[in-house]
Amino acid sequence: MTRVDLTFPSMGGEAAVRLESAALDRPALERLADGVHAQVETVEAALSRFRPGSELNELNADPRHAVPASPLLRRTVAAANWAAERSGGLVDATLLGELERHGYEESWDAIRRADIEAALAAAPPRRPAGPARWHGEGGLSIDAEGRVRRAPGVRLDPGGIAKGMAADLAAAALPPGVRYAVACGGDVAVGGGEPWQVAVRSARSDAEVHRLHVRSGGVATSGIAARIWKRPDGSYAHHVLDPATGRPAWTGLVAATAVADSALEAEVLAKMALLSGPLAARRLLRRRGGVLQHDDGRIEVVPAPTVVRLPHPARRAAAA
Amino acid sequence: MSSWRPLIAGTVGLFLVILAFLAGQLKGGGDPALGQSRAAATQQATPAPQQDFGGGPRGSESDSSLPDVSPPTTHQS
Repeated sequence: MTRVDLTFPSMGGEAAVRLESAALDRPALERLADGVHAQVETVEAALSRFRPGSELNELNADPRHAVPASPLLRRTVAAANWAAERSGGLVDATLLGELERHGYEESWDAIRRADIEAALAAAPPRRPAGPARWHGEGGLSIDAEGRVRRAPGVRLDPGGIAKGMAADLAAAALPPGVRYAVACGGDVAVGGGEPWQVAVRSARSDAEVHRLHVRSGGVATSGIAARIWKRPDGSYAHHVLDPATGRPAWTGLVAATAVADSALEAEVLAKMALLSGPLAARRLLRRRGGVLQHDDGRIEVVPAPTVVRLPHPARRAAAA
Repeated sequence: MSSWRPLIAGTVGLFLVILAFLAGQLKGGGDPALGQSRAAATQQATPAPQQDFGGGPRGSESDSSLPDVSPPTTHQS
């Protein structure tokens, strides 16, 4: 068995790739890892709001009502719409204006990071987030000519959706027989063989708090502590906004980790759980399991239902 | 015919005892089908032996059995 690891800076954080194969040699796996790197870089170049020439920035700055778009941007718009629909409007990729108003206008600088405990102590009473009033009124769509159509003033900020998409797209390009884990800023796509252990890190200390076992699909964490800052008026803000109010969401959770069929779905599910608060989050994560990190420091593991795998009759006969 | 009655009564009685035990477990918050016995378990954070997913920007190993010492990690971003 040969294993190759590759890490590189990506999307304001770090991307990590692990590939394993019994059939391919090291140079072949390294070429595949370089392909993953290239795929992630392609997504970042197109969808980063902190790269002046990105297609996303051109879209957001374009005054036209309908803007020609690449397949990747169209896919992103479709993913954003799916996320909004799946979450009942909780996961909203059109809150860029609100995010900028709260002070997140430039690429994240870790020096700005405020103390999470101080922020939680000063935060308003906890409550679940809700959808925006205008949810369902068609902010973004793709027309018959493949152009992105937007309501006036609507700007796209895919955020974690781009990370999940990048991990999924890179994983999908790998050949059969390669066991893979592709992580983009905390959104992980795994598959290709035996189940993976995926370590969940603490939102407070970065220590490992749990390991999830996933054969295939995605794992993602959404949290408020990584990008949290103090505003000039002394109040605290973070980048996970409540669409109902346009303000940072304080729900009783500092982070939620979800498992799903893909990294994109896990990203959306994790954000839904975080925004919904502890009670609803348990229900949301029940299908494939997850981890909740509470304001008070508790780490709550939501177990996935036990799956009993009976041997396939043909395999049982062959074994006999 | 009458010799079957104690057997049937015993079987039904045993079934009811097991059912009551399982119902008690469920009521106490433990689901026997879930193995871990708690719908939601609370854990203390433990330091991770290694935070990274690999051994640097690029690393590789060839071995018949590769230990999962530094598994992929998910974290908030």
